[in-house]
Amino acid sequence: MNRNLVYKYFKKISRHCVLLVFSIIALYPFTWALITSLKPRAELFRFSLLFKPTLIHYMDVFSRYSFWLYFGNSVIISLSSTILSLLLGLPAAYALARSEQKRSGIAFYFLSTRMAPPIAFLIPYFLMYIKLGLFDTHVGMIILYTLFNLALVIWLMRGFFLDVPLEIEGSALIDGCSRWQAFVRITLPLTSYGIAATGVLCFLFTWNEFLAAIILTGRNAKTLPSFIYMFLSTFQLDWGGLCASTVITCIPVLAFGILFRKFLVRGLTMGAVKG
Amino acid sequence: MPVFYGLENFRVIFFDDPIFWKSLGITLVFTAGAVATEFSLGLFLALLLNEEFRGKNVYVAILIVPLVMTPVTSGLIWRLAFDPDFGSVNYLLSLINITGPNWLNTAGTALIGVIIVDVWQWTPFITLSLMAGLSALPSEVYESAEVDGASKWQVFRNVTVPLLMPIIVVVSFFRILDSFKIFDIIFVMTRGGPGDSTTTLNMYIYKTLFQFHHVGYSSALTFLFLMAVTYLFLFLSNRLKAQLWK
Repeated sequence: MNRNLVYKYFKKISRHCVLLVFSIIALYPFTWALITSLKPRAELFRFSLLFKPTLIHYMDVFSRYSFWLYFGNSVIISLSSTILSLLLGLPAAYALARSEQKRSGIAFYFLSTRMAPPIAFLIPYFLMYIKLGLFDTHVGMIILYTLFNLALVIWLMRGFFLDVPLEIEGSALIDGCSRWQAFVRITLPLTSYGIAATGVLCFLFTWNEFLAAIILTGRNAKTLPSFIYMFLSTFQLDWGGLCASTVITCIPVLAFGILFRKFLVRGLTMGAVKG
Repeated sequence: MPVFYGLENFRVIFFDDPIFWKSLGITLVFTAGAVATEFSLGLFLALLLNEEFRGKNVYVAILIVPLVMTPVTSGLIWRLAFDPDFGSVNYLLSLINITGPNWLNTAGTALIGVIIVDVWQWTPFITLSLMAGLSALPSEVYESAEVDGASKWQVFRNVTVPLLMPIIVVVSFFRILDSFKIFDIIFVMTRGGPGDSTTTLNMYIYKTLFQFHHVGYSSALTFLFLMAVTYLFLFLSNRLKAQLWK
């Protein structure tokens, strides 16, 4: 009996120790950025936690690097493309969930944008956008990210729509609703949580996207990831500025990610694994 | 004016371009190394987290952080961490009397450094997916295995792993395809260097277009890359289909 108890406690403690080590590693980059962003200039390169915290790097980022501009770009582009892809994707997902041929190949083709290497369609986009005058514009980026997100919206929402029992819609149809009314008034409200989760995931992936952002933007439509990259290429590793912008950039995605963590795996696998 | 070039670009790629073959090899090594490590660590963590205990939710929330943190920022911060003079990695190593290498500026260790960061980023994905799978397993099977006197290892090998197989296949499918296309982290950490030692296919295509401005050649490479990924996709996709159409 006693031995069992010892074993139990040993198991408990060792599990927490292992998990603690992994947690520290998982949190390392963000914590490091947070601490460094609060260090005064003279302390930046020292391994020490004894310093007087300062907000100088945050003020610098806003005053010296026009951070607001890129932050605004990121918000505008991510939000618009999320909304647009929901508007386009929801009806498509509904149609695919309710069509006679539920396993139609069409749905599977939508996966191609998720599976294909982005560089494969970014080179044509780059060449086309230059000719069309869409290079380095908000509209161009919104169009591109909407296409990126459509596959996600269609596949995730198709799953959520399939979870809505047919009988509920059926009775609405019998009561005289048109198909469209049944969709808008019955199915959409029933899946509102799924829609929110899908929207958040679209926003998150767009916010973090980097390859398209550096290929297709110059100055005007630059988003936060490609702005932060400039700390490496242009600003000669201003550690304080880099860390301050990192913290501000990551806070929204971390908050969203943790709030909607139930749906994260589902989103990353296009609905194949229901987390 | 563009000139018609026939299949010349493809001939050069296959017969006259050692960097292409090298980058293909690097991509394969990267994918194999990263995905294998992620699976071992991810499965280990998923099994640790498979029981209910106090604080579990906190650990799960912490695991989300690498997954959703903007990859460019985490790549840059890891790059600073691997810095030989100011970085934390070698500082920690020096505490236990090991002189760390100049990680990202040495041909041998640069790829390891990039793999470490990919593992850091994606292990939680495997853990969370496998946790989802583990929690959905029917408890009756375990009970009857226990009644039959199976050891823990036998239960794991003959019950847990086969039942998890659909999820393992789908998750490795996404991980393999995605690490084939790795870009952000390599771009900010090493830019494919030193030399070509971390130039994956994706990086190589990027360089041919935006550093060497060979539009035709990069398009030919892209075409081949797309074909390769498509075939990989078709080859792996039956299980994904079964899981998606469920």
